Amino acid sequence: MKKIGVLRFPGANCDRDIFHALQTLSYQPEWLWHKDRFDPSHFEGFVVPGGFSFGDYLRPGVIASQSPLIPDLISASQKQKPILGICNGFQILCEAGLLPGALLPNQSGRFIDKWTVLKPVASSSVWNLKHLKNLCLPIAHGEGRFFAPPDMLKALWDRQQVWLTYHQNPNGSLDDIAGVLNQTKNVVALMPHPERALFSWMGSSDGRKLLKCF
Amino acid sequence: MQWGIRIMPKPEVLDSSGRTVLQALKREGFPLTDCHIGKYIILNLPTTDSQRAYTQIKNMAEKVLHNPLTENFTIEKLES
Repeated sequence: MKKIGVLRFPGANCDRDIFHALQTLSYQPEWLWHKDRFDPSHFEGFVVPGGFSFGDYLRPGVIASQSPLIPDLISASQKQKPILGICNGFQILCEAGLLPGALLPNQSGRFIDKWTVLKPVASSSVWNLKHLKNLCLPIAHGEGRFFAPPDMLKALWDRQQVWLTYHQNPNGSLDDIAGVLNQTKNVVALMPHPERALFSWMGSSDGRKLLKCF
Repeated sequence: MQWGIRIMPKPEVLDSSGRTVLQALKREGFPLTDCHIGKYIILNLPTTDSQRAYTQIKNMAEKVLHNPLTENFTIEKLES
């Protein structure tokens, strides 16, 4: 069974869901507490979960991005380990410099909690969802508006780093971007929650298809 | 020695909270054309060397306190 490190920060509340989801899908998740160092070679992949790490104080994800274990995550990324960020995890990876761009407050000024339909755009050998016409996943966020300055945005498209877009943009994200890949295509993140779409009784089981990429 | 850091969203970024407050104030009948919301951080440093303190504050601002993609910051020395 593949061992997946699940990073754990104070204030995160979606970490147990993804841990359970990974177990359900026959992976072997292991907790990585924010203060503990780890050896990336012991794991086949990593997840940075959603929630409100450090209360979203200062900026969502910024305090988590300064945690003692982040240098080990950066090292894991350099070793081409697959890393998935979900919601607050996306924010943390951007603040840590592992992904481009930033997530800003939703255009409407409201926290939005709804199902969204996503379109796979670019892919990599690991994070390949291009065989799917679309994915139905839920969002629940107040600060999910993807932003990048014009040069960076153009580079994202040119380098095929736009992973997923919204069919109907719920939050004002530039170019409807819902998820991105890093340049080496091993680190990805998205605002929607795949761990909340594992079984059809949840509303969709499309989250499985995403998580099975590990 | 007390220092203040003022962090504001860049003008090219949509400031949704500023816009929300602008609309609320206008609804209340207040005359204004714009509103932007940022944050102000006060730090206390043990050093009395202004130059050194300024450099340290600038490092903190650049490394952690502001996001260079979306925010600008200014630093001021406060009356202790």
